[in-house]
Amino acid sequence: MAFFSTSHSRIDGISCVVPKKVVDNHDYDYINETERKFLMKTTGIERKRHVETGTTVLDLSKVAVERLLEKLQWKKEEVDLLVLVTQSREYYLPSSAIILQDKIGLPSSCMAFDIGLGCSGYVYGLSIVGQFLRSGQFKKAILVAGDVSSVSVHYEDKSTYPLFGDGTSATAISYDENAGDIFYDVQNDGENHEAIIIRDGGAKNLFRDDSIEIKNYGEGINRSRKDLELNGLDVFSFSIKHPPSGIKSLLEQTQIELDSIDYFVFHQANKLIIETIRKKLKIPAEKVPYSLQEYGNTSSASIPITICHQLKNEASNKRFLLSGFGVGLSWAACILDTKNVICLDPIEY
Amino acid sequence: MEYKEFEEQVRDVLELEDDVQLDKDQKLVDTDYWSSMHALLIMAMAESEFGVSITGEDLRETGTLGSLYNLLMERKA
Repeated sequence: MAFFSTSHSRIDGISCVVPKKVVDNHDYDYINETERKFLMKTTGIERKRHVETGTTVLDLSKVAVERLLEKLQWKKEEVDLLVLVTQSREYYLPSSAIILQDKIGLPSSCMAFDIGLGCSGYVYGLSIVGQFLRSGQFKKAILVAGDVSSVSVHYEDKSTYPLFGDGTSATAISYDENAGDIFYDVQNDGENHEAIIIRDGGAKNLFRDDSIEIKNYGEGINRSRKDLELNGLDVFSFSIKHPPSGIKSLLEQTQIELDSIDYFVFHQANKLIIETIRKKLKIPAEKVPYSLQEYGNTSSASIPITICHQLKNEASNKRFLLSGFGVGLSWAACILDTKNVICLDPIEY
Repeated sequence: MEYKEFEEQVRDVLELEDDVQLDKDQKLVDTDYWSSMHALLIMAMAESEFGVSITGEDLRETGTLGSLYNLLMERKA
């Protein structure tokens, strides 16, 4: 079932945190100036943020959640559910969400678990939280989505290093009997799971001595098996085909007119992908905000970071279409109407 | 669309200087102007301008600008 809806939940607020350290693609001297300029023009990514060694997604997320709770005046003991969408887990086990629960000081009665998704993960996360809230037994939930991808990209891999930035987000969602439905189209393609992959470190290929051995995989692409590998052509081809098709299907299923949507917030993969999707769906440029110029591809945090970066004063009483797509391969879109949403400017950690 | 027009569009999308010669039968990977980023631009052009989806595999198989033109015309038809 690709299409479904949830009801009785509303987004109360979004908060985002990025690392202080700015890594500027203008200074990426692994490639020559011509190539560098061409890369920035095509991807739209001029700079991004990287964590310092040892800083993790939980360090950023703790700040994001606590700031949000304070602004919303939610008490920690009121939070029933904490869902963490990340591919930058602290450990092989236990679940990072449970460690985050302790770091924030949420009660043990707060259900907490991880979802191991990347670029599509924010929309997936919303759909899962929505399922818990719909009955009214869970009242308040926090969805944390973010990654520190910089720890997984090799400087000498031009197909990944200039693209990915670190960042995280916290979204407060609560039960509201009067909230409208949220409609979803959620799909996957496991056959092409190798298109974006880190090969070593999981149970299939345990981390070994040769996992850190650097090998050449083409001009400008050196990396090890513990590093992120991205097949740019296949991912691009997937991204301009499946996500727009899912969005069309969602619009058809819901009978919602494209013109009635105020903002289309896409996962910030790269500008060429988003612009190709935008043109394909005939969406006016002013309805498609960007954050990738400043923050790069921030994985599951890219949709909330874009909202907080560009729409913090525009997010209330609007109709949004959110579209995430990437690693999996996986893609998900949703249509939701906001009421009063507090969107906080991204802050630095 | 005639081949000449297609060539102009490619020149435009890839932002090639006037002195860059485009050879219909030369392998794209053997040219000075080709990179993975150029490949993405061609894929985006196929989707936006022709309404045709091409994959990385298609690009690898077609190889030359001439065969790419034929593929696009075939799929568009």
